[in-house]
Amino acid sequence: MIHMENVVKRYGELVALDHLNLDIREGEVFGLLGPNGSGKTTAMNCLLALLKYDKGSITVFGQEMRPDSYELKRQIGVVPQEVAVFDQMTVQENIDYFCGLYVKDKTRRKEYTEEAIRFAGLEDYRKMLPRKLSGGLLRRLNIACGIAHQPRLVILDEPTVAVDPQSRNRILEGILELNRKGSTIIYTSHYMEEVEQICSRIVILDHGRSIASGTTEELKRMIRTAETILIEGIVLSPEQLSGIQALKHVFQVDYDRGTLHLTVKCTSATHNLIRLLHFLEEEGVSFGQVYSQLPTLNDVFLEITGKELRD
Amino acid sequence: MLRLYWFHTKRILRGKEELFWALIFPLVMATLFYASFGSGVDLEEMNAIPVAAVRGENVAFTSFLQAMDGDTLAVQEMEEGQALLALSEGEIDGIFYCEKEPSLTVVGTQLPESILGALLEGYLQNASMLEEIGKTHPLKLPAAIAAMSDSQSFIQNVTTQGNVLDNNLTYFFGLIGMACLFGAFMGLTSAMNLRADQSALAARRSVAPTHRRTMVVSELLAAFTIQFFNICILLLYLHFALGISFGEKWYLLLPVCILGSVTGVAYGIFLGSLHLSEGYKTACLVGSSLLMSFLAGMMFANMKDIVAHHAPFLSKINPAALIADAFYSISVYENPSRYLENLALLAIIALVLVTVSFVRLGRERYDSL
Repeated sequence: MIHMENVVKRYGELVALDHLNLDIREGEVFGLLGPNGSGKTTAMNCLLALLKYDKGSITVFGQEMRPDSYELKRQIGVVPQEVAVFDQMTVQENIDYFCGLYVKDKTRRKEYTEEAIRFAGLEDYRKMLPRKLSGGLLRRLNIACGIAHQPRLVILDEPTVAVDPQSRNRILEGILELNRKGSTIIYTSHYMEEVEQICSRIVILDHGRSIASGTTEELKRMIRTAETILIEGIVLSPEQLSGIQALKHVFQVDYDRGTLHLTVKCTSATHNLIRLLHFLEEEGVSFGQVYSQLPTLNDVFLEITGKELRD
Repeated sequence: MLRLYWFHTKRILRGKEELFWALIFPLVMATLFYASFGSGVDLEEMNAIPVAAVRGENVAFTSFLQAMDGDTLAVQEMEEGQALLALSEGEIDGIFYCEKEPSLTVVGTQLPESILGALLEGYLQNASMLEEIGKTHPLKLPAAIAAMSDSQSFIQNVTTQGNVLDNNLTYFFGLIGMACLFGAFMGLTSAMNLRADQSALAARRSVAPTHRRTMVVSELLAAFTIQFFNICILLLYLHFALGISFGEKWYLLLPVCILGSVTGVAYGIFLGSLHLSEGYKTACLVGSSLLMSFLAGMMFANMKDIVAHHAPFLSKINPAALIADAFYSISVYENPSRYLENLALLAIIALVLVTVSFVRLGRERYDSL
């Protein structure tokens, strides 16, 4: 459905997209995950023919995407990172306006506008001006303006930034509903939990390069960490630390003598906790709370790049 | 297109800041001007300006004054002391000294004094030529002076119809020029909303499948319509509320208002499409509009004439000065040539700005956002 091949975008000396390749299939919820400045928005702007790029090719629905590809644009809905609506116009007028840029038929436009208002849960706010809306409602209006024309492809660029948890859940549910109705979704975010929650396939970007891609499970299988055990309030001798390091499947042990936190990373996800607790019991070591965590996308990013996603 | 046009018309009408600058501010300024100058702003009959000529060695200048004596000047030869007394008692408006370097003494800053200043200025610009003619072909001196007097177009124009405006009206004409240019606030917002590298809203609109030209034209037409009505409201307010007369040929004001509105809006689009911060662009807009209005005589009535005489090119490319001068021409001159010249220059400026606007807004792919 969307094919980006070897796309290079430079801003002077800075390489924003470094031979980026993306393949997005019809019907999927495709996640583009990466820290701020990794090139997610630049990639989307190149895809939408807003930005010139230095090298490579981009096709959408099998055709080259150009600024005057109006028929292609008609099938795409965009929800930008910043709320982009007319402050002087009401909720309903804004949605109607943006829908009207895509749908010429008046009856169909009205119907779609109503549907978008219902979809975003803005029925009670239709006559209100954007400045009167809360942050969450404003984000929902931003989304409604982007999807009102019922596009085949929806591009959502960090749609949940600065949104309260309740609105965030509603937005994520709405995105899945759009996908169920037949829209292909491209979802860019630096919130790994969201990407993990809704995306069927993910590409992780860093410095404009795709550093990993696959389903969540596939990505997690790419790294050594299968389980991370965290123990609080524990006092250990160097010998005991060496003993933990020698346990089966343990490949990394970090101990903070200041906070008394022990972090143990294991390559297998079975029986690690039992083995570790058994060892501590044998050594007569007392400890506070114990947590066991399966790997997250942040671990994937951390292991590949050596830094946190939110750095 | 019509739907987009109505949408943007509504949007602009609800934009308090844009409307404040384009409509409310000029209305407030007009009221303040009126409060300052009172109601003595109307057409009045122009009589020859009484002046004294203090005899000296400059024969050419003396001949020049004699040539101007009549419709334009009422010249009386006096001794210096007598002339100064007459000036202080208001019997005359100025004293010309016919010395080697001719000079003028006035006490006021109203229109007669500015005409006298312009007369001397015009003479000095051609003095060496006249003196040469006086030496070599003294018999041809009157003809040369007459030819030079013809080139003093503003004096000529005044005398042909015999009307002149109270100088205070110049302030209001400058204000109308400023009001036209303040349409740039709407143009600025339009540019910010249309260029994807200026705002997220513009980027969102740029990825929509509506033809770029349709978007630009609908937005420009909406801004222009509102600005035109703003100017009409200002003129109606000046005429009916403040009692300012624009003469009988009021219908000639409409082309000026139309071109002035287009120029103002297009000027804002030009500024809005520059790669500067919004605050900086607004500052540039306010600063440049006020400067142009100042040079058009909004704050100092004689400024328009001073610029016209010392930097004529500047007054030909200053839309505020052209608008003010077009209003002046309509109110004063029978001959429409000066009005038409202003209109033509304004049309050229508007055309250039609109063309630049279309080029700047027509761009759809950017190097950076």
